[in-house]
Amino acid sequence: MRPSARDDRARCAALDREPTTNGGRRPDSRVAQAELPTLGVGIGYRSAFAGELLLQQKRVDFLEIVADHYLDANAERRAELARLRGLFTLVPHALDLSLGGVEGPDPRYLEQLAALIELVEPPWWSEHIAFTRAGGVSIGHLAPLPCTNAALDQLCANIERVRAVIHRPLVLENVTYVIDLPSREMDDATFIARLLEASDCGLLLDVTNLFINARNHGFDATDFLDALPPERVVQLHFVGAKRRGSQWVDSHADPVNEEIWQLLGEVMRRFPVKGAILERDANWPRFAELAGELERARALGREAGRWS
Amino acid sequence: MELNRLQQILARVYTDAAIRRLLLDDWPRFAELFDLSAVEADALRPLSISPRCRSQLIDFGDALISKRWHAVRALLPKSATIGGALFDESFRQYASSAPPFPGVHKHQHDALAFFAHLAADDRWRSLPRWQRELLDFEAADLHARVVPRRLRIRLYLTSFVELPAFLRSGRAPENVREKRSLVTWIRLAPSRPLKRRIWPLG
Repeated sequence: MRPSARDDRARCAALDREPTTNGGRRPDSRVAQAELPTLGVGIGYRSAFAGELLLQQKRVDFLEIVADHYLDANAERRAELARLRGLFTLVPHALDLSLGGVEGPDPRYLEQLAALIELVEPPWWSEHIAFTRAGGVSIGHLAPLPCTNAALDQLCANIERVRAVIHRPLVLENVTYVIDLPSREMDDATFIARLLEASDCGLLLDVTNLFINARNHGFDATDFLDALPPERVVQLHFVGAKRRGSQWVDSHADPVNEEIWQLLGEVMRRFPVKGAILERDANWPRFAELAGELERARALGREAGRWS
Repeated sequence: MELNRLQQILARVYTDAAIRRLLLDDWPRFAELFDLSAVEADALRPLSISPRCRSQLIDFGDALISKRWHAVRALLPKSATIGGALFDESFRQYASSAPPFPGVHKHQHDALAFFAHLAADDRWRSLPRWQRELLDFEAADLHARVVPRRLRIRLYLTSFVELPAFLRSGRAPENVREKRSLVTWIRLAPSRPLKRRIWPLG
């Protein structure tokens, strides 16, 4: 029999009752979506466009920073972070907590991440629904989880460990996956919806990842959106995707495709999102071109009544 | 199948090309290597026999190497430019058997380990000395940014007076001179910026 959201919440509530490291005080890290500030449209910060960004900072509402770049950082990175903090609202985006991993988050990484988040004081921060290491092997990237009850439980347990030390709202990102793991017990949307309810987290909906998964694995992206709890969708990612052979890939190196603009508009209309980030990592055009994409996304959010 | 076992086996399959080949081409040896129970074998066997799963597994392994390659190219851009096809081919060979590094500086450590692999290649050693020295300089510079050390000194036999122009343009400098250069990297404390100086000698 399929467990209900109530069953999932009960499992996570049992984890809540375990002793916490902050004297038993329940951390203030649940996502009360309505209370989060509206940030607008921003970009994932990369040093490749740092100069142009400073010249055109008024065209960017907020920045997402890759948290890993500022952990165990040298003096140059710390100075960069201080400059950015003075100019923008920053939202840290972590890559290597391995939230779905049975081994749990690395204590040193978690400690450094907590210190960064304490310093930056973001309205929320984000990590991926994935695992990045197992059995002492670092995979070096985000590996998808099997959509099973055991994986849900593992995610909930790890999220509780993280919440014991990071007292800011956590939003979770959907990843792309190439491999259809054979042990699947539910579809992607059900897995994510149940995870959000059970863990009381928000969703960073990567619209491009959704587009790619829908194309590569033959499901309808709007069916996926139908299954999501609307009040959980906090932030969006978007960037272009491209076809390589028979597969779509998330190269983070291309202008936003028209189909992804359409899906982004649909998502903006459906969900009370607080912010959207253009996530470009390579093949840089002039910053003005990126700013044009930000403006188009901003207009979509404005039409949907998400911001003025 | 237990999640822990599944993740441990997948991590090996994703990062080690030889183990991936066993899963795809020699299932009995793969099952023996991981001492799979009947339940575990049932769970994983489709990855070995389903044409779709096999293709996905190869694609994912390639994608992981490709992501590492992009990160390392960005950290060693001059080596990538000068090395060309040798750089790319050598990286694929290196990454197929060397799993990614853990930690927040994983790409930097990957780039340094790959540089050592590349520098041991005979074809690499046949490059003109000024090119090899320039690439050594690039790796030493990366090392200075990643590994905490107050002072680092390298002596090169090539004049690096032309180096700044080269670093800006990415093109080979004209008339490279055989003239010694001393390069120093100094970071007085972890909280202080790194200072690099190139000293032309004699």
